[in-house]
Amino acid sequence: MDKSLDYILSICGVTGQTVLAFCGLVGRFFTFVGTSLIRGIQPPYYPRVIAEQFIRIGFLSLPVIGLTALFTGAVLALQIYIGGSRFNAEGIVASIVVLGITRELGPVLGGLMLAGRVAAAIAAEIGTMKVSEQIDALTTLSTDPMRYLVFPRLLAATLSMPILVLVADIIGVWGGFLVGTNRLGFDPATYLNNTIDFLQTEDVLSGLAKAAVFGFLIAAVGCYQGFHADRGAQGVGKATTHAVVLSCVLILAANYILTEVFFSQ
Amino acid sequence: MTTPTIKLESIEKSFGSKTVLSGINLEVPKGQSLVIIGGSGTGKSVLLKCILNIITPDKGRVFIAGQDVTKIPLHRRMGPKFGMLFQGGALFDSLKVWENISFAQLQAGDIGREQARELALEKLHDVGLSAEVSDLFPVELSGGMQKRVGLARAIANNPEVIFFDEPTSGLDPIMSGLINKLIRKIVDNLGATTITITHDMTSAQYIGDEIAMLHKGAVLWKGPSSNVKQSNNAYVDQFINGYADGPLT
Repeated sequence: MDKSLDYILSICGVTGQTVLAFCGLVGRFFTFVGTSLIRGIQPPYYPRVIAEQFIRIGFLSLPVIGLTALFTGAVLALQIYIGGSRFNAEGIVASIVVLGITRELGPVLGGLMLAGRVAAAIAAEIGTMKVSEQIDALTTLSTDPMRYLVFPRLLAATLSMPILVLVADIIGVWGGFLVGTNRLGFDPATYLNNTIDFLQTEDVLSGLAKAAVFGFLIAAVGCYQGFHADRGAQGVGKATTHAVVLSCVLILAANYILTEVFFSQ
Repeated sequence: MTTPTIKLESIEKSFGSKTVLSGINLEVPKGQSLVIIGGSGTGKSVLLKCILNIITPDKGRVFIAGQDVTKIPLHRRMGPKFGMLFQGGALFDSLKVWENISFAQLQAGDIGREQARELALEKLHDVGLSAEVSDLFPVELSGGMQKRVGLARAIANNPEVIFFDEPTSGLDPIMSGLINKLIRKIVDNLGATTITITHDMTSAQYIGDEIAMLHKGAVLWKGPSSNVKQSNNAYVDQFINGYADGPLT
């Protein structure tokens, strides 16, 4: 009897500790992000650093986002054609491709690719700066690391991501168009008409809103993990891995919540 | 009696169950150079970070020029200007040498990029480096050059208070001697108040007016650097002579 009671108590203890650790992590994360936002909107501002981050996070991510969208659109067209042919609905290819890309695949796959590229880079860079005392050096040079390192990355990722996804939407639809017209034998004019007729403004806007949230999450997680990296190469490596995994999971979870919010009616 | 530039009052700091600083009291008068020595893990770097508010002490107070600055971040502090030379240089990888040196002035918008470059060249000259170095990135420099660039950055704003964290670690004896000489010259020229952390006894005696030894988070001995060899303290004797046997082991 005593043994089983001990066993139950130990399970309760472990569960409690895990819940407390999780709550602590969530609290620290929101405090970190909140602090950087509050400080970031106050002067001094660092326009040069912000512009540099727009280039690194936004512009330099264009190739990877574009290629992802191109192949996704092409594969989507093929799959829908094969699936649709089972119940004589091959004609829906254009409309499903455009809805799939703008509502889901553009922002989600773009977000996941950006998580791999940007969250990892941010965590590794800030983590290395932390272990080599560069963040302490910023402080001693009267520069607030939250304003100088975190806020420009949050801003650049949040504003760049919708633009990247808009480009991805166009390239993705174009990928579907190429396969549809060259491989599946659709008439180009009919394909384009079907694409435009079925597309509504809210399909695109909901995708762009999701993209902004994903961009924010990617930068926030990357910065947080970098700032909390343990010492040494192993610490920075762990921070980078955690940044990619955590931002991917958060993107997928946030995608479900946002889809519920946008399309629940 | 004049107010000391730096005054530490009963500073305590623990990390979890490990006590690192247990009631440190120290004073550094204006224009004086204090060197803190002690074994690894005795809390020297933590003490420096407490003074700079990079780490907040659990108890005690830090006074700079008479003002309690214990919980005031560096970028909000009024009063004396600070400079800091980090153990590894802590130069920003993504910036060129000249941008590193005049970083604070550039970010504060005090001067334009042309003036910032001129300031950097002047400070490079002060630490014995040529103008060609200014357009290199930190990774292109040797360890000794990185230290000198770090020193140039530390003195770029003509600070009244300077901290040196292991200024000669990882350098050969000739480069160490050069860095010591530069630090002493700069400190004398600026009339700055300084705190230096070092394991290097040659460096400690050359740079310091006074030496304090830390052991188990407390000040074990403090006195003029010229008296360190006659301290009559077994711990200090063992440390400065590098004996393997003694009370520290």
